[in-house]
Amino acid sequence: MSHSQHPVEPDDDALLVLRVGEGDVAAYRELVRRYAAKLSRFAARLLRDATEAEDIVQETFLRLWQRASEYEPKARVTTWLHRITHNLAVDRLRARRTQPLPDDEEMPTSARQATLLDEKRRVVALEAALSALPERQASAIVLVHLHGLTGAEAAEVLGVGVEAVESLLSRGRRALRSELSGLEKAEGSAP
Amino acid sequence: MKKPLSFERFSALLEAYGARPELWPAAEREAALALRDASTEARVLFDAEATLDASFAALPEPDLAPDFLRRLNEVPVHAAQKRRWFSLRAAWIPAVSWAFAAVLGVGLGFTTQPFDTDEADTTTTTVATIDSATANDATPVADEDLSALTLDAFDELEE
Repeated sequence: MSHSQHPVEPDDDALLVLRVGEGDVAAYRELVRRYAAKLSRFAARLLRDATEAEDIVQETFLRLWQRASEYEPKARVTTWLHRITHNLAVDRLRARRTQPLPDDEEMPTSARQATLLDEKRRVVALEAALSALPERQASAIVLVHLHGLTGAEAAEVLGVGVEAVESLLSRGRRALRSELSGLEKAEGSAP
Repeated sequence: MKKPLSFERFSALLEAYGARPELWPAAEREAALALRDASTEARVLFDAEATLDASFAALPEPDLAPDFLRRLNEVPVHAAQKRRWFSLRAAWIPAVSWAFAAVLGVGLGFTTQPFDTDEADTTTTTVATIDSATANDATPVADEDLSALTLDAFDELEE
């Protein structure tokens, strides 16, 4: 294994991955710098567990390091990395299915919504509502609305067509809007 | 001139991608913006979706533990890279080339074999005819002449 240390210029992601495939640690670390936070947020929102999210992201970067030579520049690097993270997260969620969801009781109820008075609480409510979405809706929302992937890129990550992604996004947004409008009504009726 | 977007499709775009034109499919963006600017109803719908988008923008970024980044950066220290010794992608082109060459060879073999047989039969017939003619004419033919005729027949076959 050669650990060459080429200086990393601001570069196209795909070229960095090709350099990682040649054992370039500096290129690998540049990709960590660019994507670790983004992938961690994605995994954390899907798994609702920071420790598990870190495990998933570490596994993603391990795969990047070990399999960079298999990367084919058909997909953008961000799409490729999100897909690996998504697949790993879905595996974890499937493994968890036999266990009860830990945070059902944390869903914002009308009673609790009534106490959420400011924007910060609105954000907390949105976080909770996002966490309560079905996995695929949450994935689509995070990929497109929080990470800025296109519908086509999100479709590639999720392994579905663009129309299916648009459907997931619509249903997800509708559910979130419903939660937030419930919150606004509760705030409006609060004494 | 781009095809105008229907209001239904505009509404569907907003429901899916929100009031962020940069997220709308590039092929429909221009028409969607034109509709938004031309229709009051479309503008109202756009503004309503913008509220949720503002909430997305306000979501906090989870903090990364410094130790986590260190662990990520140390992955290359602890893990060896996997090298791909055999690549299907790299192998399929020569494989197809060899297969094509083999098929071509077999095909040519089949198409030329009857030709060879006919020629061989013709040669035999020619020689037989010569023999027969020689016998009928009762004219003695020197062995050298007969050999020359046979060789000529083979030359024709080779040509």
